[in-house]
Amino acid sequence: MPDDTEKLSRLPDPGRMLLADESAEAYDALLSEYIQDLHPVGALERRQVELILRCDLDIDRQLRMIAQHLNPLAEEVNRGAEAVRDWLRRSLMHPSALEKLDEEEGQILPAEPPLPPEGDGRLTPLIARRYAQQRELMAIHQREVAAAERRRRQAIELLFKIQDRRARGSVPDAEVVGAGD
Amino acid sequence: MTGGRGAQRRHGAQARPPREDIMVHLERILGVTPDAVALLEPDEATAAALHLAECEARLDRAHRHYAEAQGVNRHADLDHLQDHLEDLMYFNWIEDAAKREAAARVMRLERLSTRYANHGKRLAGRYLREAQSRRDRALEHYLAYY
Repeated sequence: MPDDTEKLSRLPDPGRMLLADESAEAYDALLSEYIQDLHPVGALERRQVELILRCDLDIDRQLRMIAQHLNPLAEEVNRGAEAVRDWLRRSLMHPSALEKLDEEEGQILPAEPPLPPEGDGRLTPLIARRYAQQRELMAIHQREVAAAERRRRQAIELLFKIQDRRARGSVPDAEVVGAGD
Repeated sequence: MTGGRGAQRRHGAQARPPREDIMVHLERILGVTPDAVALLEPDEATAAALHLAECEARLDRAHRHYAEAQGVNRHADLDHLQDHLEDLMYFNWIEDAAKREAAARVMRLERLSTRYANHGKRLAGRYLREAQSRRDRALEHYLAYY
């Protein structure tokens, strides 16, 4: 069994597995908490703990995305519709108004999506409508949540299996008493 | 655009990871830097460790691809096509019928762009599940020599 030394760097660079709204520092802090909780010994167990953490991050990420997609106040981006609408509007405008519009457009900054108020029951119909509009995407995210939960269960089971083997390995071999009497 | 059949296995998320990534995992699994001669003719335990290291590197690659796919809600190539069609609508020398056709295609590409992005997400999830499954089997095999 390989020694668990601190010189073994974490694998792989977590920054490569994270999205823009997740930080490597938070990942490292969580990993150290998991290590304190699960007491891994050796590289195999540490890796297993890291995989459990990744499953938890995946679950959290998918739920966050579902919440974002269902935000009833977020604007639905339809690039195609915007392009056609813009073209039609410009074709109907007076040249002087068009010049003014071009000047103004350079100054407009994209607005941040507003956060919905918490616990407002009046938003339920809007949320249901967004859910219906994005059924395919919702199904993908929900399936990924289920898959991550399954991977997590398997990873924990494997960790316990490795720890069990290690514990049994530390028990000295039994002596057969009375053999050959 | 899609890269053709088997493209992911050659140079995508399912391609064989670089040797250095495998060796980093192998070193961690064995706890020592493996001897080059031992790797030429590995015993059963080393062969199992080597297979596990490769599966670990594949799992990392699949996970990276999976994370990248989560933030993609549109297909970049189709967006590029959409931009070209949008340019067509603004050219003065193009007749109105062509502009209307370009506008109709811009709208059609919008739907396809979302559909391809969702397809990419589904594939990334499948690659991750496959890589995880192979890695777990390799780990169970290696545990017999642990």
